[in-house]
Amino acid sequence: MQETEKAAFLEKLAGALDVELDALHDGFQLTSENWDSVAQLGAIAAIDEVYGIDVPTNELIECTSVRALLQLVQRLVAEG
Amino acid sequence: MIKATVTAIASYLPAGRLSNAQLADELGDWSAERILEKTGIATRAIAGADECASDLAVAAAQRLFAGGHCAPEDIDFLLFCTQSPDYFLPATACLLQARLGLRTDCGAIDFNQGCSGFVYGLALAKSLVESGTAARVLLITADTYSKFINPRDRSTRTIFGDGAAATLVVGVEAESDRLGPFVFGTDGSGAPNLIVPAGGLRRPHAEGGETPDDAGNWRSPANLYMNGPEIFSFSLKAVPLAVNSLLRRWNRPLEAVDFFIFHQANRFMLERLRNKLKIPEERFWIGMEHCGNTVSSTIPIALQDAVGQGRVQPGTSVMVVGFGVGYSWAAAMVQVV
Repeated sequence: MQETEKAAFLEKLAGALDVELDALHDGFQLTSENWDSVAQLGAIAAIDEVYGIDVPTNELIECTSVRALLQLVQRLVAEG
Repeated sequence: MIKATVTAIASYLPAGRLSNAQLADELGDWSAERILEKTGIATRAIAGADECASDLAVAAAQRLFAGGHCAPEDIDFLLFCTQSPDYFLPATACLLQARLGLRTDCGAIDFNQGCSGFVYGLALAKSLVESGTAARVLLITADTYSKFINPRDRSTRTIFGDGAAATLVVGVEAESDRLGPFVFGTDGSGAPNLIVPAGGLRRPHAEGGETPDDAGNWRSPANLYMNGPEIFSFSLKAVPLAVNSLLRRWNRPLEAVDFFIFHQANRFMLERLRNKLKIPEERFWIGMEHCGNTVSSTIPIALQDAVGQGRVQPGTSVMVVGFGVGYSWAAAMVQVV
């Protein structure tokens, strides 16, 4: 995963989660409090915009941390 | 040659209103400002308890007739698009024929589509007019999704409003098409993602009552269910493909389209689609702030507003794209007169 793409994605993800970018480390937990459907829409939009790929929503909503989300994206990018 | 042409649009929103302040009070965890920021909707029009789709349809059609474009007795065919009909049977279009005073030799049918319904209606109207079957077609779209929505379901209650639009399609002498080309799409595998599961004959009763989902939205099987992330994903895939398919059929580039009116789902989705398709902001309509997502009526309401505000001029080419429940989608070129 290119660092510039990751940085762009994290910036958009921070907006979707309504948190400061500095707070969005890999271990940031996605919980029922912050990982609602609006945040998930934001993540889908960010992945589409930055990486140009579709993400299976059933896998996306199961992510429980930013690390898991990044791993999902990395896998999807590698699969093309 | 006779070419089907949209010559008038009138719309009607019921008097009831649901504001973001009311939603914030009732639902608690979202502020009015956050709802507006995320949805682009400030207030939704909500039908009264005794107000059905036919009532909204009559009001919209009467406004169209009052505009002097034609009289009820001039209509040869009524197409009525709704997913919230008054009855299982008869067709609501038959009730509308009587209430609007249309001739008894006027054709009248319902068709069941949601967000793609207006574009489908234009295609049906064009076929009727250009085949010589009807000279004047009245296309009415009307829905009251609010009646399906559980008051404790923020995922749908923040988005949808009720409304109707009446569109007159007539045959005029013209050199080139005023409606079309069209493209259509269907993927019924997405049906479970936007559905009212109970109340039809497959599942007549809403057993189990109201239950909460993981996000704390309550609904029963008789209520509208929307899987927002799935619908969003579908739209990001289907709409750009439909737009590009239509451009190929039209045989012109995106730059030749004067204005774009997509189904007014919500601002977030529209902005992402606009960015993805690289459509300039000044040629793209986002305007559901005053009424919410009115399902099959968003496009005609937007077209009426865009013309009224001078954003769309006579003689220009407008691309209209409907997409959503079904999944169903359709896109068309409309020459504004």
